[in-house]
Amino acid sequence: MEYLSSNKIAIIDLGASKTIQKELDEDLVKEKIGGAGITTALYEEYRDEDPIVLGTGLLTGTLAPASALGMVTAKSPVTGKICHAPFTLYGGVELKYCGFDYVVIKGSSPKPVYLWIHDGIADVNDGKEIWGKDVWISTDMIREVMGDPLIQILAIGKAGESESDFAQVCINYWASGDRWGFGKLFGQKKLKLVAMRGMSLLEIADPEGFVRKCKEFLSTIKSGPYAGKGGIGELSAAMGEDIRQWLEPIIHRHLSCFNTPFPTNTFVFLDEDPKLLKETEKKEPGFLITDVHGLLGYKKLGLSAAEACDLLRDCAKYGIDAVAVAELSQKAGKKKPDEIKKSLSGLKGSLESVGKGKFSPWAPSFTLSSDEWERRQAVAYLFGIHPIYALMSPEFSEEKLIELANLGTGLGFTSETLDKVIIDILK
Amino acid sequence: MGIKVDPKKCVSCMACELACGYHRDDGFALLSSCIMVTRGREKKDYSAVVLKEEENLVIARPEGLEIRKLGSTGEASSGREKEDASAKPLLLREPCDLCGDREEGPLCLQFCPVNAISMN
Amino acid sequence: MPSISNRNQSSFDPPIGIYTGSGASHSWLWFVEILERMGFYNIHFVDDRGLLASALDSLDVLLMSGGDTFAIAKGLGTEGSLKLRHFIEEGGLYIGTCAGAYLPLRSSMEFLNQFNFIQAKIANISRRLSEPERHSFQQVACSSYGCEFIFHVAREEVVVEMANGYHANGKKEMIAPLYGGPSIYPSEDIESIAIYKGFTKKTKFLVEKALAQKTLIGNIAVGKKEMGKGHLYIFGPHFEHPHFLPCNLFLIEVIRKKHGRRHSPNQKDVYEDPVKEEVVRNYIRDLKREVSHSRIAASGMTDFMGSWQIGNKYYDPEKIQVFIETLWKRFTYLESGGEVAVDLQDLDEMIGQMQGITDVLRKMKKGIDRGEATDGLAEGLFPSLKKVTSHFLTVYFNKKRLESIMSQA
Ligand code: SF4
Ligand code: SF4
Repeated sequence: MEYLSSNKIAIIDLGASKTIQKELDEDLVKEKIGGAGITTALYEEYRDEDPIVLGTGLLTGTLAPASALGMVTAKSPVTGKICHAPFTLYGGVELKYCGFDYVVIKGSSPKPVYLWIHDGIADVNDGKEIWGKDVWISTDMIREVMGDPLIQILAIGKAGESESDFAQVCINYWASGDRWGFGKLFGQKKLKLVAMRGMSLLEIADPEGFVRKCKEFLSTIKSGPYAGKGGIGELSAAMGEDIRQWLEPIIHRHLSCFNTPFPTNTFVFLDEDPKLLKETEKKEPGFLITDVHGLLGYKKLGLSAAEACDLLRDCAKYGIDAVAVAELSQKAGKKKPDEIKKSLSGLKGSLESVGKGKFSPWAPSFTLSSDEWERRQAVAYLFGIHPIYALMSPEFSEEKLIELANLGTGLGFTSETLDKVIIDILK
Repeated sequence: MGIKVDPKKCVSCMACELACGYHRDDGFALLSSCIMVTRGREKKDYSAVVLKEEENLVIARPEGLEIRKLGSTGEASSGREKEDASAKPLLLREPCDLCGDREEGPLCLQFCPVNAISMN
Repeated sequence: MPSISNRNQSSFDPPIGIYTGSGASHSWLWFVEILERMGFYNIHFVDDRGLLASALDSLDVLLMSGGDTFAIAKGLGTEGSLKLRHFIEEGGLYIGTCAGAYLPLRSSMEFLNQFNFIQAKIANISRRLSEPERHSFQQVACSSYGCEFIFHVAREEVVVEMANGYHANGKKEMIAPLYGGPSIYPSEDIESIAIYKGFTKKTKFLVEKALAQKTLIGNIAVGKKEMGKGHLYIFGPHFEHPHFLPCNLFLIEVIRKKHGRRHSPNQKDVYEDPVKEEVVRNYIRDLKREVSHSRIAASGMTDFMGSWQIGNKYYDPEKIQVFIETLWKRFTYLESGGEVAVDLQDLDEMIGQMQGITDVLRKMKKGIDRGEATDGLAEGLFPSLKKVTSHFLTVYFNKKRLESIMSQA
């Protein structure tokens, strides 16, 4: 695969602590497009070894608007189905540039390890030092050892290590869209984290044409209904649960995922003046909210915004899905932050908010029907478009994405290809 | 004439960085871009947009602009720094050329989704 | 960016040495770049230690690029000057740009006075200035030169005009990049090949234009001197800057005109037990892993907006990346299979050197984060980077040369 690709797949055998590399077959791309199409195919290929497949979409890491998506595809220990969990921020783009389009992690390790994927090399490293540490400390340790704060990390905390059903694979310090208990799967495999960094170059089949179209599409969506807005509060408002006022006093800034026109994340300051412009002296002044549902869950318990965000921070450190924690706290009648914090370890129960399909319910349904939502998610996960932003920008249509894919790769995808792949991955 | 960044509008999306990298390499890469959003203070949510010009590093910080003379240890405004006239250019990140060879002008500006970049 | 086509390489591939020792800045990498594009693979790297040993004996050409002239002279010392003189007199070709051009020009300064091969005078030295002019240099660029100083009047682009019937691809004029190189008064002792003619829109004046004109225009930018059986060519501007194609071509022409000296290329090392591919591949992989580690640690410093001061030069973090990327972009070729004639011990050593560099970079990053001074660490880093880069390029060009010889056979 020549364009928009590193042309490599890493197959990592955790049991044998060995890595091999394969080329990314262009025919596979022609048939499955990319992203969830190919992670699903790779899952099937290695299904006997209970693989975790990491991947990016066909357009991830390009100038295509919102091309921020990376994903984890595996069998959910919670639902028993093959599911996809999204990771955005700078995680998707880092995976795309670290030299592998896809990473298959198969088998399980006898002792704690972490994966270090960098510049086209995939190493299985000893994880003794970080096993037992929370997500934040683990991320800090890896970045410090390697000397680069730009390393992007998919990590589990104590929840994953203790194989909790609600364990989440976090991204750097923050919650991801993992609602499938993939944190538990990492824990079962004794895989503490995956660290990624790379600086490769992606070639484009028709560079000028591709970039011209990206620009054109960007200007269309830039003038859409979300223009000039930003933050997690806007998402909640669009979902019909307006929390903007409630959250406002602690907002420091809204942040976008890679190349995403709308900032879907909000950084709140909890131990620092939110209006501060210069660099804070505090090491850990607050929290980046990346998941609106967790926040809403805590708001429903009657907590203040600061209390809710403080709890979100604890959940992320522990590596547990805040949505599950909020729901189970509600059921158990726990409404005090301290009580909830204490319940994280050993949390048990069954959830109603578990996703029913293949794609994480992290992306809100807004006003879409579940079929519309699902199709749009499938499209986002194939091309590598931010799953929430994909829902917010219907103007960025399937035709436009196919057009970009063709300019970028020269492979001649059609809407029939797309339909076929979607049916395939929804099976 | 030059590129101006309003760091208070910036949402750290890196679009400008990738656009500039494309301007240099005709492919997608970040290493040769001369506009960068710093991402090293993630837990503090502190970042700036840095532009490498011929002579200076222009750092647009949320609290204000800082200009550093390249090839020196000081701020350009201090005026105390003698420059090293024999310094040879580093041909990795080439200074901003305002996308002079592009009809539609600066690519970074066209790709900033929140209009944080302008020409002055 | 203009580029040189990889011309079908002729069988003429003279052994060329590039100086990388004390005082050399990073501009020697530009020589590597343009020579490779032109299909010269018989490239060797010479540091001061090598030069003082017998490195020059097997070379036809020595390329000396920019940097700190004084540090180069000091590193080579009297013995080095004798070696260099002997090399040229016995038929060697010396090409010096910028610092490499100052080196053989007449000077009374300690160490430098060992290298007075050309009696021509430097025009941009402070004794040529009037009192008020001298004064005007208090704020601008100059480097001390004993009790005098070398001053610089302009940088970036200048126009040079070919003289004495020389031409550059049929043209009389070309644009060349000047970064502190000398302007030389015409003299009996040097043949003028090109003179400074004028400026362009991209010229950056460091003083008033009148003084710049007085200092540069009409003086020698490129000169030649015969010495024994050999020659010295000195270039004020950096003719090896890879973005200045006509300059590069002219420089390459000078090398092409050079007829083989005393020996055919030293091919012994090329055919020395090519080691089993598989083993070498694993070593190269390990080396790549280490280079990636350095590369990543260097990228971790992008938030650091400062520079390090080492001696009288400033070093930006980007300079680290310039060296590392020189290696990095050549890995694909080394990994592409085929024989790599290399001592495993050499590779092992390189891996060790690279690990050392990664360690230093990580320490620097930690230091920067804690607000500590890291100049000391940086000072040790750059020589190691130069060393491992030339080491690596040696292996790389060996492979290229081997392949090119085999394809010709
Ligand atoms: S104007 Fe062009 S060269 Fe300058 S920063 Fe923007 S993209 Fe880069
Ligand atoms: S494109 Fe605009 S918003 Fe994005 S990082 Fe650059 S300046 Fe900031």
